[in-house]
Amino acid sequence: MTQTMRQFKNGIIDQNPTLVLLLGLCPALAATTTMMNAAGMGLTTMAVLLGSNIIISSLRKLIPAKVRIAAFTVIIAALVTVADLLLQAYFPALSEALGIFIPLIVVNCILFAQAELFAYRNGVVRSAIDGLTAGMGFLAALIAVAALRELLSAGTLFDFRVLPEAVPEIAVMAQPPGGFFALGLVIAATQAVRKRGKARETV
Amino acid sequence: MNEDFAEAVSSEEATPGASAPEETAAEEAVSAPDGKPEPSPGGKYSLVKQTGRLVNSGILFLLPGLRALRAAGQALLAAGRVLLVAGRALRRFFKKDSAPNLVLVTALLAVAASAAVSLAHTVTEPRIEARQAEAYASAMGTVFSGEDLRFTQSSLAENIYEGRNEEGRLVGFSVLVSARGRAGTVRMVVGISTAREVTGVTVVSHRELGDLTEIKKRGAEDALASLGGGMLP
Repeated sequence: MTQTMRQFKNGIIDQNPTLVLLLGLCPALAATTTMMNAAGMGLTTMAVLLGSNIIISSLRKLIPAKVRIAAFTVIIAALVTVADLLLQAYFPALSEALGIFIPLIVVNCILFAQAELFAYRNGVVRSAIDGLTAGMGFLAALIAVAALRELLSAGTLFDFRVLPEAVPEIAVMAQPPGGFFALGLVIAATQAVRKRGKARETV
Repeated sequence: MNEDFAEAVSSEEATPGASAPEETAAEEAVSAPDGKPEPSPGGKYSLVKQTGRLVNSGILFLLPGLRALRAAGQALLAAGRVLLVAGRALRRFFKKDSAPNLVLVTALLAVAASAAVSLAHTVTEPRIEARQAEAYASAMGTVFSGEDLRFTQSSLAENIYEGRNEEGRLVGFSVLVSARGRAGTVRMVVGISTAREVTGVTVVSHRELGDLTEIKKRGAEDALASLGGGMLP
């Protein structure tokens, strides 16, 4: 398995930032009431993560270790503000739906974890791939949680009706407790998949 | 030392210069059998001497130039040394973990980040303002129920629009207002009838926590509906 393949597997399954490392749980709970919101949040975070990883890895030799956290904060905050303005200008509906959660990407732990553990120690290309894969992992986690929540609370996926009307809707899944239920189920499923994968490797 | 160098150069230059004309002179002597006066050995010698002198004077002519070049080189070297020392001092001052460097890097990053944000702001501002104007325009009618009104800018103030029905009679005013919310600006349209009564309030845009305050928001929506307005997003 090449290094790039391994990076992809790590980002999406083995070290999925949300489902395995349990980072960035706030947006995973708050922005997953519908799949639309989850996709918007996941894609925006992915774009910011890709940008911050590229910028931080290319400036890593200039940034002194003592002020790296401040430097990361400035870079990530600027990127998030730019992303927020672009969303407001070009995707107003998404911007309205996600509201406060876009500015809150600034304090998303995934961005800092990836900057500190990867981008500050690796080259630009590797860091770009890392940002992409971690972002994909985050996006996949949000989509999975949101699919569960939207399906059970409204019987729809991406606003398309999937379940027949007769199936009772579970209102709590759209509310904050439902976020924890769905996230717990998705984390359990990921662990099961990883365990099976490991068992196969040892055999 | 300077003169030694020049002498060495001139003697080196002179030797090949002197041997070459000798050959040409011999050739001339062979190829001139037709009554031409043969050049005397003394003349031949003087030719060599003259060429040598010519070469020498050329070197002498070059000498001041070479000296100037040397001086320029030395000056450059001295300047380079000064720069090197200054650079080392600066490097020590701005060493990766030295306090001035920490300040410098953070400040430069902050300047670059502000530049990026202000650029994005300049690019997106017209579009965002147009969207807000659209949202306002579509919200103006929602505060007057039952009537299809046309709105025109009022002369009273910039944020007041006059609503007229099909006959052109003034029915009321839509007032665009904004207030500071917990997370950004809350924009609203307030409808006021000609009888000076509030006919409705519609929230055009807000960035308050959406999902966590779902129930509260619903309460607000009911309250707004009771006033004859609603919530747009």
